Amino acid sequence: MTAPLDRVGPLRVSTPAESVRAFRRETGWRDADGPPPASYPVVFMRMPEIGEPIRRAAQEIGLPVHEAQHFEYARPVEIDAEYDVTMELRRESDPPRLVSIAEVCDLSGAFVARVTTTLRLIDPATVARLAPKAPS
Amino acid sequence: MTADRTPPRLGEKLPTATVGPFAPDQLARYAEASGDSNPLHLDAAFARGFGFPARPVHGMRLLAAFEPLLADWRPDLAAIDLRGQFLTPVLEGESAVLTARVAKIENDANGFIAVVRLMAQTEKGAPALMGEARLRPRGKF
Repeated sequence: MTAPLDRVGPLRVSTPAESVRAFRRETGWRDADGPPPASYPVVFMRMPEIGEPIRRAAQEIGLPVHEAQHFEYARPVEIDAEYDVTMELRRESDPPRLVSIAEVCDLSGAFVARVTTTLRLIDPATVARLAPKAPS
Repeated sequence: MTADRTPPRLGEKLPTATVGPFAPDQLARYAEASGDSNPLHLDAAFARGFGFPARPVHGMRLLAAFEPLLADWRPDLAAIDLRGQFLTPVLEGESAVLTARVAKIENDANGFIAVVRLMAQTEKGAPALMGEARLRPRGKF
């Protein structure tokens, strides 16, 4: 693993009930009302302060494709709560990847969760052998 | 459905679930709810430009789909760890089949952790996602 490309944060994020409901609705929960699912913190990645460094770093190679995702919890993320997120972005080579490691802490600074996102960077010149074949 | 705090049985298989077929508007709604607006999932021409015959479904949509499955199976357990690796893409108009199995039961000072292996397959049986959830009784984080 190489030195971090970028560090971001802490950034204040929140878990508004309507956002949690929308996420639950679109991920197959029967009841949209309920706590944030374990996968909900991907929503935090939409913040431009987090998304923009990823987009910028990916652009040097090509298209970022989500390859793996990992959520680790010390305790659950709660609804209608605020957290601070810090994100570290690292680059791997051969094959080229970006790895974003975001730590979610409560407002007292206590660790809540770690969210690791692995993006494979696809060079357009290689897509012919990576993409699935069209159905015949 | 079990509503107690006894460990699940090693090797127990969860009910198989099918998600999809994924319509284009579902991809757009998931993008809006999650904030993942990568054009690969939203723009058919863009996806074709990268060699995909149709827009691929977000890999995270598949991983997230395991959570209601796990909650229906054991509502008394909560995920302390959830991970997935995205393999063969599921394309718009296609479904995915989700299966899960209890692979291990661990014990520590806070009780048990059920390690559940997750797999999603495309309609053609190719592996779309391999993952793992680690579940503890709720309130035992």
